[in-house]
Amino acid sequence: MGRSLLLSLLVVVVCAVSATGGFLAGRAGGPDLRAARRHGVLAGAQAGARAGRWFGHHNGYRAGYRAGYAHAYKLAYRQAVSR
Amino acid sequence: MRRRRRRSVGSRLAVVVFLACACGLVGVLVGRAQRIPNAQAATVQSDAATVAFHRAEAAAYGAAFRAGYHAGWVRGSALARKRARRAGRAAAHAHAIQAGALESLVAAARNTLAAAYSPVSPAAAKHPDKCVEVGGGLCEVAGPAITHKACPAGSVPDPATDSVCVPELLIEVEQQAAQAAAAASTAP
Repeated sequence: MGRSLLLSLLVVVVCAVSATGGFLAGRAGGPDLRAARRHGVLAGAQAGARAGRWFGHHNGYRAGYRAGYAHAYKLAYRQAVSR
Repeated sequence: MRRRRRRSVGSRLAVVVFLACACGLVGVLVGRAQRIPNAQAATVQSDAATVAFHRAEAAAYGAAFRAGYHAGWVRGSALARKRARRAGRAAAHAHAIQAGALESLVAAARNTLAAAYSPVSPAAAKHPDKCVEVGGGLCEVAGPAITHKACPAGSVPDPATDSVCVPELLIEVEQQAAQAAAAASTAP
């Protein structure tokens, strides 16, 4: 009786190990979501930083140029005329 | 008896191996069904990239805008100063020329008026017929076509008819007025 129960338990353990191994083997080889997310974040951050720098510099340059030009032109013109 | 027992053990072992293989096969099938599809991974990657893109762009924009603003301000100011100095000098120069031309015009007009208001000598007053009315209250000395003599000093014959002598002072005033008008039209 005890021996039969022990053998049955052994069979169950062997089947469980086999099923687990098969499950892991079947699931292996697929894409990794963490790696995909990490890769996406990295690529997106690099591209976003580049785009932000470019647009920020471009728009800032234009705005600063316009403002500085108008400001300096008035002063310099008045000074040149008054001299 | 021993042989039957061995056969029984062998058949049990075969059943166990079969069960193990069957469980392993079921595990493989279930695991393959649970495998993450490539489309889901691509979606996750794309979503993560989009979110990271917007965050990084917003974070980098402000600093880049300030740096670009400063650079643009410096560049625009330098260029504006250069152009404004040039324009201001040109305007001042044109203004000075215009003012000078107007002063000359005023001086010439004053001289003309002074000459017109100068006293007439008694000898010249005896010969009123030497004056030719040209309209507008102006009376000019008769020219070589009428008197057959040269014009008096300070006047030149009218190039069209030679019938009157035009004072050089009037010609100068006309030239000064033309210069003043030209300078006023070219000034910004």
